[in-house]
Amino acid sequence: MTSKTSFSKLLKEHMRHRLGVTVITCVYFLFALMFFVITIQNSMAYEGWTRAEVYATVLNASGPNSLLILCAALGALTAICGFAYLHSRTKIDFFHSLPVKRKDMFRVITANSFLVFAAGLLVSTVIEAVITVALGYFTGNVVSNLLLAILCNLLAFAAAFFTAALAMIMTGNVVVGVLGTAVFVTWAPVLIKYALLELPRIFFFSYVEPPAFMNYFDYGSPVYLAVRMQPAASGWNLSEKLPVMAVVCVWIIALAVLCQYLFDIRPSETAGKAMAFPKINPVIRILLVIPAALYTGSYLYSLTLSSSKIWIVIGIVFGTVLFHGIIECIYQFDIRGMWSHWKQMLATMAVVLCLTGSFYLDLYGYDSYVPAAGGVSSVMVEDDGFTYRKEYFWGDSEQSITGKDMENVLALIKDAVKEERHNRFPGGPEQATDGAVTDSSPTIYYTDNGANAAEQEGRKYVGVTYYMKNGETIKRRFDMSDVQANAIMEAACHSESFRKSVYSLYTADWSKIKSISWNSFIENQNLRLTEEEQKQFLTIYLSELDTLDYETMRTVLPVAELNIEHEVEDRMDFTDDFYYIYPSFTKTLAFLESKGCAVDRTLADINITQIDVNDYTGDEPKNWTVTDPAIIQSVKGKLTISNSNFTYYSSGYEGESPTPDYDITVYYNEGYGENTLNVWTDAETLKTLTAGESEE
Amino acid sequence: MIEIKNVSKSFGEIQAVSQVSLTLKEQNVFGMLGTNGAGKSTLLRMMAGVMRPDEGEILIDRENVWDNPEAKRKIFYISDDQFFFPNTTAEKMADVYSVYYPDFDRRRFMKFLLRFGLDGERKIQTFSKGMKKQLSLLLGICANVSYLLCDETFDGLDPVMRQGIKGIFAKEIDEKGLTPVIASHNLRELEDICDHIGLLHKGGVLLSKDLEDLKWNLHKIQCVLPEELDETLKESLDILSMTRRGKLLTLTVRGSEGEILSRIGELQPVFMEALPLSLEEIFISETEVVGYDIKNIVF
Repeated sequence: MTSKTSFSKLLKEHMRHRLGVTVITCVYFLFALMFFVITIQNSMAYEGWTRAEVYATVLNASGPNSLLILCAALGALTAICGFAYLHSRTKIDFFHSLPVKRKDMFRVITANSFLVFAAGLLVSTVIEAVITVALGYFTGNVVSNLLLAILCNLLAFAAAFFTAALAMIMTGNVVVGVLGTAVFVTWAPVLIKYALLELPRIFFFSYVEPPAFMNYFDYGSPVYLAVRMQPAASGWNLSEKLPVMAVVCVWIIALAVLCQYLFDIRPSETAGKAMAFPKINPVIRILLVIPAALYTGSYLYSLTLSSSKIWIVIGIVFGTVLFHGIIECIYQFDIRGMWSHWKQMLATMAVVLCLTGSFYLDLYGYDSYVPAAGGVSSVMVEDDGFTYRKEYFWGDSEQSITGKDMENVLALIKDAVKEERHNRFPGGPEQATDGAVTDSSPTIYYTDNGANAAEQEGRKYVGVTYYMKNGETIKRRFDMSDVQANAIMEAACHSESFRKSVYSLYTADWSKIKSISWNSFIENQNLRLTEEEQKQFLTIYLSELDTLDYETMRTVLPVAELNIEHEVEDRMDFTDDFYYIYPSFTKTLAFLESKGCAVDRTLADINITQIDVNDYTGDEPKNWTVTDPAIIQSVKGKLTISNSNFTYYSSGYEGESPTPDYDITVYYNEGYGENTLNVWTDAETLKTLTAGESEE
Repeated sequence: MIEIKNVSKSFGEIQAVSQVSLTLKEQNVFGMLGTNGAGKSTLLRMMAGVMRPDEGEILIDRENVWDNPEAKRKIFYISDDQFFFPNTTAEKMADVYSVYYPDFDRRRFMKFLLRFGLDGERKIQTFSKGMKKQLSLLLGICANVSYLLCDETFDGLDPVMRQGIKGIFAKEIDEKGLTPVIASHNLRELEDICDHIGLLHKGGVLLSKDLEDLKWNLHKIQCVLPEELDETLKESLDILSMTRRGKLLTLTVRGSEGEILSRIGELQPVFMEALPLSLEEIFISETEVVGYDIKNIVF
């Protein structure tokens, strides 16, 4: 009898018919080479370039780069072309009647796909190496980067290849296969992940920071993961990418095994149909309809300017019917399939509505969660006035609020949450109706969870971080009434541990201070202090900061701001930290006065040379300038600096200037040239200014 | 020998082939007859190993054909719409098949191309439908396999080509033991080429017989006899159909020609003649006996 056809012969024969993919692969690598050359060339394009800078570019360009996404696309395209024959009855009759085992057929297609890609990759890498040799940058690091790039490119290609192969094997039509590939790539890291993030954003009153476990959804798609192997802005870090690469490898092996198995059992007669394994059609449909319906609900809700959640329900019902129908139409290639399996459609709708309802009623207790004091190590609270301090903290203590103060703050938070929840569901969550929410909800919520809610009168955000004794860190950001928020912040400000974890100066190493300057609305100046004086000054300031309460912070405008420039650990540069001087800080002001710094001067104390007034109260706007020194002298004590001059945004001051129908600009000269300030005044003073009118 | 044992195949709710059992003897031309949708192509595709039966098994020389290269190497399947690679030529297709069928006779193939007037270097996509069918047959014959499965391959071939192929088949059967299996919905396409006919209908086998047996055992007789002898005739002969027009009686009778004529002769007819029976008429008679109106099935 005839001898068996060798695998190499099969490979060779199959390769002859893959000209299209070979050409596309060559074009890709040609593009990659041009990209490589252009990147290096660009680093030499500016004047004054150094070899070290170009070498850094060569290292980056020779390593894994942003072209990984194209590699993945090429892998998917190669698989789609390789397995497209499964979708044609004519071709499947030909290929599957040939005396070749199915597993060998699968291996031939796979091996050829990888051979074409690997050959292109190898040639391209050799050319890149030759270019670096020619430019004199060929080092061991370049070689290792080139090898890493080969590995990453192969992984990205393989991940996308097997993902697309799976989609093609599981379907019977090329278009459906391509759609299937897109679904496999995006289902976990995009569709499900963002659907699950969207619900809390809509329904929870407190801000939802995406929990860390959400990142695990990225691991549900090897292609998505492979693209994550791209270098970060800080460069490519092997130890950082190694876990991702390992998971991609596991995915590739699992997908290869699954593809081989499904290829072996795939019924040939499914060529031309939508799906090759109809038994799993309902599972796939349901898994797609659930996130799609959720998105439809949230999208419809985002379009409305109403807080009524009924639009989400309408969106979910509409989305379920629509996407169930679309998928069934695709399955059957018949528009009349729209209403098939309507019982499953209703069941899917019920699942989506239950899922949404569980967030609406906060069955997970996200909004109402306040841990028992026994389980909490410390608590940090912050409103917008403190937000930046956490990011730029350079002190030693980050203990936050502890002990009795912590218990007090926790109790206040608990009360606030309880009250908010009561306002939201007056009869309890189980009694919740849309009407109840709409009537009692003080704000209009958008899909960004009412990010604008706290901008409403009488509302405020308070961020809370619970540092648990078990090492866990739990965060919430509550939107609550300003009365409750102020009470919490007041309690926090009375806590020494809070102050130490908010104001770096309490625990920072003062030797790292490079300079201290101050600025008021009127002037700014550097403080020239000896080390001893600096220590004395800061000690005085902190002793007065100890007495600062939240009420003062909210209602009293600081007279000046201290700007402390200090070294940053692990960095060669300096950064600034800001502190505020209040009128009640008499010792601080006196110290500064003794150093010739009159930081608490007001408008009454400065040399105003001119006042410009733009009056919009009449039919025609009127502009005039007052230069009469007598008038200026008589009014300057009655002028108040407008908020538009404020730079003390982080002081926590909540006062606001009125918005009159006129603009007043004062010009003053303190010997450093002319400066201006926007001010406002009372009606009486405005009349006085009108008397001094000299039309322009 | 191809053995089809209780094979069933369904596509969703459609039962394409149901409990089919057939034995295809070697060195016979087997004609598989049936209307569109009778299950011929499905059965052929299962025989070629393209599709897997839901139930039963198909053995090629006692080896299951499913995913079995050894068994499949004995088969060459020509589908009703044979695939050729894009932009390829007949000679290149021969190269392709040479890889999968190591016994492929390339020299003979080139001879056939010349004999049938096909240009081996011309792109196949420029061939007519009939030329593509010719090419498929020639490729199949030159693959030197034991079984050639042809799905509607002969439909539409011109008489010269049919004769040519018939001649090649005869030689191949004689010299190399080839067993062609030819599926068609048209009995006339098969009657001059097949030795054995299997009739498929609604996924099942209505009958499967040697053509010679069918022809030798069924006869059409015209005679002139008085009407009162009709009952005597029915008792003495195995009559499948009987039509009287005046005194002229037309009978379709099962049995040997000599015996039938002898029995009728005993009744001293005024006129008696045995007429040739077409395959169509044989099929009508045979299937009517088992309760099918074959005219609505095949013709």
